[in-house]
Amino acid sequence: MDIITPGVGLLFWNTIFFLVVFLIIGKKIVPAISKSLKDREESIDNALKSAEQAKADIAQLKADNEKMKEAARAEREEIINEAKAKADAMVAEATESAKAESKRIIDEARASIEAEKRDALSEIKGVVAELSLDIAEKVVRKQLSDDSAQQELVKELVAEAKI
Amino acid sequence: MSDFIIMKSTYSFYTRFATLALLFTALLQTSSSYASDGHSDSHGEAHVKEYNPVETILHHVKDEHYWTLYSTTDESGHEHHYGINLPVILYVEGQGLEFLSSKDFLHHNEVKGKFGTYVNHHEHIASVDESVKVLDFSLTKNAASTGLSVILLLIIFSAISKGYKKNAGKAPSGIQSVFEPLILYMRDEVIQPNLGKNTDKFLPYLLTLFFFILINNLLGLVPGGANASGNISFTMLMAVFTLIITNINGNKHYWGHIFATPGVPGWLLPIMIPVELIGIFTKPIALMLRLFANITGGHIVLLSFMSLVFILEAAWVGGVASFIIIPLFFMEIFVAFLQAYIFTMLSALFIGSAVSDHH
Repeated sequence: MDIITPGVGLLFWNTIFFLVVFLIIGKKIVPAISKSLKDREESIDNALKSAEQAKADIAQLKADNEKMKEAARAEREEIINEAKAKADAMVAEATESAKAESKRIIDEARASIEAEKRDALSEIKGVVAELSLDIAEKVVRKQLSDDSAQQELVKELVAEAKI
Repeated sequence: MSDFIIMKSTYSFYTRFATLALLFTALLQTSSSYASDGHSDSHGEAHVKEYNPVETILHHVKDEHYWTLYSTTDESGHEHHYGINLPVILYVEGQGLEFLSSKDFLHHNEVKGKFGTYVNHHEHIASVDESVKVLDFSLTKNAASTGLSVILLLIIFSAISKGYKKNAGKAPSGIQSVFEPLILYMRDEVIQPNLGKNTDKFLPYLLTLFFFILINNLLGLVPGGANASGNISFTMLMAVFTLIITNINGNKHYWGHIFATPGVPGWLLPIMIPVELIGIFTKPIALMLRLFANITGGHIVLLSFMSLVFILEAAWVGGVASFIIIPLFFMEIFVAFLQAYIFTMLSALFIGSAVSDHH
């Protein structure tokens, strides 16, 4: 039955041995290993996290780029539109001014024509008056000789006076 | 001191192993003398002792003072023992310590010391004078084997520790990568689930326990090795450590469960309290017996199959038995890991239930 009887010597030695192992390995090496393992796990964790972050950053950057491109495109569109509008306005203005100018020239021409006409008419009137006086003079002179002939003459003269 | 052992050495891991092996070879000694025990009555005549398997197996499983690797008996009845001579240290009550050599006790003869004469009767050393009480503190085969395991553990763990210094934040290398999966498995699958936030506090004890039991289990399987972890003293000590750690760390929930078990009517408490108090001790006792029985049982089974050769006295039986012994041996290696794992897991469970905040 001594196989299940603990021996005092073995208990003594094993206590010492276990305590030596516990104090050196348990108290010194295991915490160091545990710390190294935790540090490593943390650093792997951090690396993964920063990779994730970098991925997100790149995506953000891409989105920003796209946005900037979009903005640039919009701006270009706007500038082109503006330029077009300006050109159109300029053309319209030019047309307008040309129209006004032509109108003015026409008006002027018309006015000068009118004035010429008036001058001409007044000249004609003068001529007519002179002519009338001449005719009247001639009529008056002829009256004395022949009445009918007189009338014929007036008619002839009037016809002659037509311009 | 520990820094010297662990860090400052310039020798590599393998050099240290080689040194250790050389040291052990140097310790090997031959001791021979006439078999002078009274049982052999035919001096000088060739005699073959009847093979007794029970005696042989129990002798292998039990502790001894001289680390016998093998012994022979020649035709003249001359016994030769080959092995390591271990010191016999006796505490003689009222006198002091007595240092003797286990080689002298090999042949059941009386050995004279400073304070008296001693005799080794079935690995139990006592004084011839029966009135003198002797306590045996010898560094026996099992103690020496455990001591060897301590040296091995220190070498291995200093190499691992160096690995963690060298490969800080990097992948493990060398011996470090052999042990890291074990350490991680024990931490993440065994200790962490049972202890939760208390993991860091009990990790040193539980990991030490695991590797201490494991290496002693494995050393027991080395041919010529001792059955150190299959010895009741060894397993009792480990169980007592777990018992102490469980109870000094037990919180109010733990003690509340013992002295006022929740959900039990008051009149039942006089029965429940003794039951719970016995429960404190049955758990470590189960731990102690489980490890002892599994390791010793494994050794006995292996030796029984080996004994078949000598019982049947035919060499071919060895060939047949090998088909059983070799797989069994691998199973024993598995059991060495398994029992270290179970011991640690149950210790973690007991400690964990004593320190957890809720049930």
